[in-house]
Amino acid sequence: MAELRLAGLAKRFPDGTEALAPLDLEVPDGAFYVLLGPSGCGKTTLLRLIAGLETPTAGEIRIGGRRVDGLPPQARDVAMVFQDYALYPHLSVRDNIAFPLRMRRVPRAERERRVREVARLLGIEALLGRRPRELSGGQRQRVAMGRALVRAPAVFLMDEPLSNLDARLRIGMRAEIAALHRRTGGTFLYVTHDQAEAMTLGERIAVLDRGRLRQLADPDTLYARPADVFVAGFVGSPGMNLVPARVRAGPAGPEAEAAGAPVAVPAEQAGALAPYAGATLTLGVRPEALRVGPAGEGAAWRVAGRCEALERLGHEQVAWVRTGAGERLAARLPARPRPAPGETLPLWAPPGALYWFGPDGRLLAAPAAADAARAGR
Amino acid sequence: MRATAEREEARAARLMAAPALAGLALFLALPFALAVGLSFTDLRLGAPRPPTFVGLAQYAGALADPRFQRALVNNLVFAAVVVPVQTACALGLALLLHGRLRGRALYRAAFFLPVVFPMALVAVLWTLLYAPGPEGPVNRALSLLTLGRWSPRDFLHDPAWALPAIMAVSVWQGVGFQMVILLAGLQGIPRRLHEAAALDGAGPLRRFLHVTLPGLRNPLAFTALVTTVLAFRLFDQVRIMTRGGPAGATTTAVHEIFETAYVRGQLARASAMTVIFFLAVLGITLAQRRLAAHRRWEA
Amino acid sequence: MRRGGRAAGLVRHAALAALAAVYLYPVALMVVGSLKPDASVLPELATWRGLFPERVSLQNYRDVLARVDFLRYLASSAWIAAATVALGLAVNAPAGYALARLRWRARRRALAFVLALLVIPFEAVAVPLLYQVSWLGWRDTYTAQILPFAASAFSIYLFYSFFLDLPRSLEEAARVDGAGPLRAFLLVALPNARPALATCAVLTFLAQWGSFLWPLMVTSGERVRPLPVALAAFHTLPPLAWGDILAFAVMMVAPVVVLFLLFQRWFVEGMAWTGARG
Repeated sequence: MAELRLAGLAKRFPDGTEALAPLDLEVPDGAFYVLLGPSGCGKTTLLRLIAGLETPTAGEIRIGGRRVDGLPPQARDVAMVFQDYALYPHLSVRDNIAFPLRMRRVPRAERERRVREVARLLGIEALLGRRPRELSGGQRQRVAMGRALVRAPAVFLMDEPLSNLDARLRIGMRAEIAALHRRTGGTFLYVTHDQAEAMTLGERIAVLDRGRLRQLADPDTLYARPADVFVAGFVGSPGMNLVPARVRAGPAGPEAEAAGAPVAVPAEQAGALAPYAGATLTLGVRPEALRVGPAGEGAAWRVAGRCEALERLGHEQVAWVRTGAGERLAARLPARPRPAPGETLPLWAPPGALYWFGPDGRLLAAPAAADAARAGR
Repeated sequence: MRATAEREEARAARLMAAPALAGLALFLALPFALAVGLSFTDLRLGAPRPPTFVGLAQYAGALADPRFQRALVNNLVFAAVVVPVQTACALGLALLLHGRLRGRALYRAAFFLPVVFPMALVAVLWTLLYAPGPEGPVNRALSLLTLGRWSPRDFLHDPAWALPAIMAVSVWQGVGFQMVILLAGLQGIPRRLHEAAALDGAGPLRRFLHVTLPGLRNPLAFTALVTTVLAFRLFDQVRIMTRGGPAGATTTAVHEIFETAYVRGQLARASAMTVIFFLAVLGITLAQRRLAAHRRWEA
Repeated sequence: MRRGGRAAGLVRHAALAALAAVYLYPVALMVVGSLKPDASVLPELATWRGLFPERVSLQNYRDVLARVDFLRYLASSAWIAAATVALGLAVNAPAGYALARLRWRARRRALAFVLALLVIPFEAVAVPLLYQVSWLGWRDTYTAQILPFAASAFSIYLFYSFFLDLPRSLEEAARVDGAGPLRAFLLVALPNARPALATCAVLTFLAQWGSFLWPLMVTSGERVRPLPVALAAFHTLPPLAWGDILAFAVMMVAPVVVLFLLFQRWFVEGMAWTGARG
């Protein structure tokens, strides 16, 4: 077990595309970190750089204080679970799991003992004699995990290990991976594009977009205080509603207007917005913070729109609403009442739900409650 | 530091590639260079004096040699007949074997069997089949087919018939190879293309012309190339069945090279012939590749 | 494609059976003729007795073994073919792998070298190679018949294309699991390259078993002479006895046919695969 430290790590492919902008990241010993981002964001490249399967164009990688960039993969003491599992087709499950030990010349008896131990841990003892092609997707997944776990490496790398499983299996394996991490105490770096997976597994999550690290934070912070519009829009399902908002100086501090409706800027956010009078900022409201119906006293923003589509989720529903100004908003509502398609819905947001992002997309102000929640941790 | 991984990989790569590359250099590149070099000298096997530089004289001599001229023409004629005939036969067999058919593997094995026969054996066997006189099976078969109007002849000693006889042998031995490749090509054509064409109202002939043939473009180009090159490398059958005779009627480039170098010991002359032979093969390969690439581009 | 009904199927079977019969007729004549008395082979060849002899015996086979050292030729051919196959796999598979997968400075140049040599037919180097081999003192040796054919541009290209298509993640897993590039090749890539290995082995074996021009040039005595050259010599060895010649031919082809029947899949698929790659 060891900590992983990346400094200024960058990768540019020979064709000139920048897969990864210089990036710093520290994963403490025994931590579970997740790399989250849409496909093509560079998260798999980052993992492959750490494993030694790609050569970085700049920067350094240290594992347990030892510099390893430049070392071949086999000298880095990392284990990796591949998206397609990459089980050796010509070897039995036993030999697949034992392979890393064989490479390290672990004596046969010791090998057999550790393979059994790992197989028991993963509940695949009965499969040890089989070939990979005789296994189901879930079983293959376990074997791939077993091959990584068997040798207690300094760092575990996992490249979308659950993405080839069906939805139910995925949720089950998620819990198992979390349990495995607790039991082994290993340093895990886990790549996924699935935010539910990231939120449930990661102690901290690094959000990547187009080769850049957007935010590194624990799941609560990621949700409560997204660092920029990308993270705000990517995290949450659906992501945060983002609407351009014009800000001007008013008699009692800054005033704003979004989607053709005035926004009452809460007093605690006024300071942050004041310098932007005359500029266009981005107003963010989470779909779950939007309410339907006649607004009470506390409404900070009122906007009406036509219901264009409805996603029914059983216990609740998501309404997609087009405002008069042409903005598209999502609202997460209780399952009842159910709006008719085309019906005009009066929506409103309380003052404690407003996020503000600057012209560069960075977060300017979050709701006071979010800060409080963060401070309380 | 950075270089360790790359150095290790490069070291492994060189280690893995070196034996084969050395072999190629020593037994293919070097002798080829030697052939080019020798072709400008007057080296003869067993000659006491050292070879001297003679410029292009060997090339002039080779090209002026009527037997070598005849050999090149024979190669061309051989290719011009065998390539289309063998391709057509192979395509016919492949079409017959394509699709659901019980016992298909058995038929395929039957037509493929001669491919695994050594050419020397095929040549000896067919020498017997071409036996002159009415008891020769080929004479007998032609006599039956023409209802007795065929007068038996000695194929391999008949200037008009010796080359066609060798062509027939080559087709017999080689058709299975082409068939197997075309069959694989047919299986690679998605069935829905045929179904779509049928839905569009195309009959069997049109489907063959517009779906099957275009789908076989690459395997056809490949087999045509291989067969043409083989036609130019023709030697074993000729050596065993006719020794190039009668009167050069069946001699080939390689046979002339062999005779010149091995029998007459004229290494330099044979080297010049070798280079001419190589240029012919190279020309065909490049022409056919360009043709194939061109057609692919049109598609 | 579902073609016609039962009648069409029958027509197809009839056509194929007739064609196969005509096609294999020479092979049948060879086998049957080898079992008949020498004197009756040629006269009865085109009659029904050509396929259905009065009496059969193995006398011709005994005669061949008595007249020439057939077993020596067989051993020579077997050794030459087996050694070339083994050496060929040993040098060409790693070379194809290094060209397809590993990063090294000379990779592109090496690949261009191999591709350029792909167009040189053996016949274009036979004469100078004979010169070379004579200079090395290798005439009338097995070495001269094996070593020049171990490294093959075609085989390297075959392995190169095969490894290009093999999923990379297997070897990457091996590398992360602790294997160096050599062990990743030997323990993971190679065991999963069975189709390419089989194809290469089959094609090399066939080429060597049937090789004629080169052994004709490089062997002068009986000692290392392989079967095709021996057959050509036997064919002109008086007295002309067609029964014996056919018996020689049957014995010469029997090992290949047995191999073909056992490994038909690799023979056929190997050739089809090279076709698809062309």
